[in-house]
Amino acid sequence: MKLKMLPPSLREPQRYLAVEIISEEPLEKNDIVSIIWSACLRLYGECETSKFKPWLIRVWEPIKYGENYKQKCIIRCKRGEEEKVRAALTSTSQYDNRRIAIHTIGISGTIRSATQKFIKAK
Amino acid sequence: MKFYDLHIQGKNFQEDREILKEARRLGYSGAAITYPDKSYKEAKKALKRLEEEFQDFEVIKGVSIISETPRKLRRKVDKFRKTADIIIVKGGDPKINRATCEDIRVDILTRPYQNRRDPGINHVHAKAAAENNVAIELNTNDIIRSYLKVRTRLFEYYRDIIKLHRKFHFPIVITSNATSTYDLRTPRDIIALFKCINMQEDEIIDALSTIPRSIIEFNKQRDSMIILGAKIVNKGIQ
Repeated sequence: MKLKMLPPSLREPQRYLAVEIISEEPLEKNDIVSIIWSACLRLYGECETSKFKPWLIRVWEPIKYGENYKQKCIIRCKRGEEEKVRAALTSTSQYDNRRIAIHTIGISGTIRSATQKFIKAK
Repeated sequence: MKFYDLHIQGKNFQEDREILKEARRLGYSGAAITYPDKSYKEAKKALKRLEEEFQDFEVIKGVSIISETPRKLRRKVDKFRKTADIIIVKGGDPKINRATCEDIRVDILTRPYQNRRDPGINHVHAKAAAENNVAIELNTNDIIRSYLKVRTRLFEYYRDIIKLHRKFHFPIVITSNATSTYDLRTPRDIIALFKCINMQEDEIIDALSTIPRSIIEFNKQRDSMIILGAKIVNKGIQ
């Protein structure tokens, strides 16, 4: 049986990172999830990563960008830890022996504003 | 705020243009393309074309000098000081590190920790670098491309360098040392990355923006400077 949702006063505040991934080949949702986890675990370790609560919300279709592919997505994390997640994402350079680069376009308080401000605006 | 990247490795015109375009898109106001001292002469044309093509973006000509002895280093610095905007010396050898820190004509010392088991900089180097205004480079590409033991060691060296920087106040610059577009990161991401080695936000912004700007401005006035503190204001009047 599914647990009942917590009341709003007990829910933890969250932040949404609008992220842009440049890669040599288009990535799937599972690939991006493993990139986020391995990046956080590698830079901060298990103990610190347990505070982040990272979650991949949505991935947009890859677009051709020169010879590479550009993909945008939204990642959720705990409020106050967004800078650390951002640093972890910055520190990744490879996935599956192929080069990738992750840029955080912006941070927002809701999914809606993150999409409107950072993903659809550009 | 204007951010600068003072160390991007040049390859050829096409690839340099791609990297500079990406840097502009990511929010930089200027970048230095550096060529090794051996191939700088042939690269001059490409650098000039790049300067003409990017009007709203500052393209800076740079030389990265590799030398075995301090004597050869001084000779090479003599040779390139007037033609290049920025001189970067690759460190590693303790004698080269020391000679670089003591040479006022050099702008940046890069990778003083290369092939070593220590940061390559001690209090003597730090004092000399502060006196001669030689900036020590912290490299994002080294962090991004390494992992586990190597990355840990790098963080350790960077922490030591920052500790000396807080005591002796020599300039620090954060550069990408990029060889492709995949090595570039946005300034805000770099700020977040360097926060994990306990650097303050002001220090990081200084290293990305204020100090590179002052190096560029200082180098523009270098020709008219007789010694530090005295410069020719108007060459026409005698």
